[in-house]
Amino acid sequence: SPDDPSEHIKIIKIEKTNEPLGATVRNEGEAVIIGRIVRGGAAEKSGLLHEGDELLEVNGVAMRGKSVHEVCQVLGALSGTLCVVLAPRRAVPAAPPPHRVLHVRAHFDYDPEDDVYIPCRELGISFQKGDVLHVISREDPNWWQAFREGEEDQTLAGLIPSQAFQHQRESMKLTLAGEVAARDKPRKGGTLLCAKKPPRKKKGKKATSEAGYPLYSTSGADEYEQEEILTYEEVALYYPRASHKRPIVLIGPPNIGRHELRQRLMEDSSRFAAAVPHTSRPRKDHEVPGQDYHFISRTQFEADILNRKFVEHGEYEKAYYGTSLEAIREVVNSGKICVLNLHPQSLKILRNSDLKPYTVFVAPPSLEKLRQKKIRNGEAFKEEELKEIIATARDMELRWGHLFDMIIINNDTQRAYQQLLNEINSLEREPQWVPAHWLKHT
Amino acid sequence: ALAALGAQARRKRATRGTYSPSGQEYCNPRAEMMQHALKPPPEERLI
Repeated sequence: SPDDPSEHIKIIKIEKTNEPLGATVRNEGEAVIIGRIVRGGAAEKSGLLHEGDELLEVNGVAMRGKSVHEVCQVLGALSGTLCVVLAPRRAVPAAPPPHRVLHVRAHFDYDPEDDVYIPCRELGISFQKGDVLHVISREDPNWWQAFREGEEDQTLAGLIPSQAFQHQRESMKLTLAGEVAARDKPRKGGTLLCAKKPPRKKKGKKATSEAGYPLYSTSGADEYEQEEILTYEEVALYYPRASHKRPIVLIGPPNIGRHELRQRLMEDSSRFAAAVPHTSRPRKDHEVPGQDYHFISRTQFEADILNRKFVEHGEYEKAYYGTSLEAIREVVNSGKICVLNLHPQSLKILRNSDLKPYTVFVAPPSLEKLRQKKIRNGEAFKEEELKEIIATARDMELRWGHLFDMIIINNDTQRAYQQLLNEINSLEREPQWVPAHWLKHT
Repeated sequence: ALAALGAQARRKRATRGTYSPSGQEYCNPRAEMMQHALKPPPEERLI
């Protein structure tokens, strides 16, 4: 019969060490089928095994009828030259064009041990938010083969969920969570609940600047109204340039030392500088235009807001204040490092510019440590305020954590400052992974 | 780069060869519902 595998068999010899060959097997009825060829293993290098081939015999041991676990056990005990009898898959599809290596930053935590969908758990790679992954094969649309940054010396690639698969899984979870919430909620007056999303987290308080005026970012608040599903972000290596010092953006809850850190950096005025803000209020006698502020008319200010010239702006005592992209660019062009304290909402417009900001989240320590810090510094505090700070920090990290390049826990200002300075120094020496689109236009 | 994020304990690659069928026997309703919508693929083992 045409289904009889003995009609077209192939015998191959392959060298095996104590390491796996780097292929997976799956059961299809009685048959043992090659599921995938893993990059970096002996199977891939030999080019003799292919996805879809049926494994009939290894060193005289019949494979048909064995479970994949038994096959795994038999093969695990073998080393040296293996004699493998195969029934090659019938139709051999044309080899897909090789993909270039895709570098991505993960925006979610992943543990293959908790994943019921991973086809081969032994090959799963665990990773955490912020890790960089080098994707070397996207042949399987659901499961990519990848190495984790810093572990390129691994022989065999690992499996990670593909972007499409992860997106599908997360959107399904959102839908289901919405349905469960709708089902469990007692219905009032026969209103049909059709929530598709889990209840939104409470919104943080309105952003305010250090001077106390409300801040508005020009990028619009609509961006986080929609539930964004974070999977991977393509990144590319950026080599530091003396002609472009990346602006340092400090993000974080109030009263956790961001202002102080910024001041400490600015003491070295040969190296660091602030962007000169714009204002629509009249200039005072002692003020120097372009040094204290850029003084512009209210009409001009409003036009500039509409033209998205401001990273953020606010109103205080009937005058506008704001930080413009142009003012940041002036600092960059002067060869200095611009230090900015911004609200996370302002990151979007800055990240969409050509300025390549480096974002540092200045986070509070634990409640207990925060309390001790306040006592140590002799600062008056209310327990409620401390809790509020920690809640704000958590909320910021949940919503914008994927935009942070670094997190500093500010328990001790001197230590935090040193940590920040060390990082800024290394930014000037070492290449960094940045969003790939930053490098495409330059 | 990313020193701080990277400094978070980098967990080792999931231990090889730990076959844990219990992982597929989750009985939380969400996983159950997901299984209807999204079927887990046939299990593969590494050789």
